Amino acid sequence: MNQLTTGVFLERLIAPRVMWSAFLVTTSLFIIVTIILWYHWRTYALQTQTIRIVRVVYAVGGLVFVALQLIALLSL
Amino acid sequence: MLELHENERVMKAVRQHWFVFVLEMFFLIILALLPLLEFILPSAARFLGISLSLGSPALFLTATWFLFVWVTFFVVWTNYYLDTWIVTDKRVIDIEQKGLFNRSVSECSLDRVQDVTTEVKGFLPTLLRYGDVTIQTAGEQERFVMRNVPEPYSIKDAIVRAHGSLQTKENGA
Repeated sequence: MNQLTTGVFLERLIAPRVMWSAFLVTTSLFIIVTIILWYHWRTYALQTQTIRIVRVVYAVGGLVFVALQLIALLSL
Repeated sequence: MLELHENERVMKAVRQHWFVFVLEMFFLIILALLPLLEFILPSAARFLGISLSLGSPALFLTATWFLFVWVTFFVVWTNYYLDTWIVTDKRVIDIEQKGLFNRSVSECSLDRVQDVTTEVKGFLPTLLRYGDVTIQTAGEQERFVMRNVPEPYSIKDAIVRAHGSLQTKENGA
């Protein structure tokens, strides 16, 4: 039968344990880079209004992607 | 953090033209579009008579990919945003951000300025009005180059004007 789902294929390729580890690594990296960016924006930026908006956009976007990762992992 | 001298006034704070940032982002935009293949592939497979559907692992990989692209975008933007030239009525400050862990700040006093040159070279720089402003000084760092700045002629004028009024003040004192 010519039936193949990418989901099944990826599940075989990537075990859930590996994906949870990948999630932990990427989330940790996200937190570390966020701290570094926050520091730069707070210390060196000249226009605080722009930075305030950028901070919110960055945080919201980042959290959305982390949440999507979690949703995908929980529905495995 | 930048600290101004007493009675010092910022005349212009410039960074590279937005088009330079867009060019830097071009590769990242292409990368960001890669997960779209996940949506194109099933349709293509269906056309060939193979059934492909997206599962949770694909969603996980897509979210991880977008998180990577998202963070990279803001790192590149931060490098662009913090790379600034500040023209005050007393000096020109060059803040060079070459990465998150590489930052240099140099300045030249306006009374050391000998010559200011503007160069707009190429089709797009001419169309979008951006170019280089080179400041020749008598200081240790002889040349200050503001690369790909928007409205280079007005920046040059501002520096020349500030230089002139500083000299007038000094001669009057």
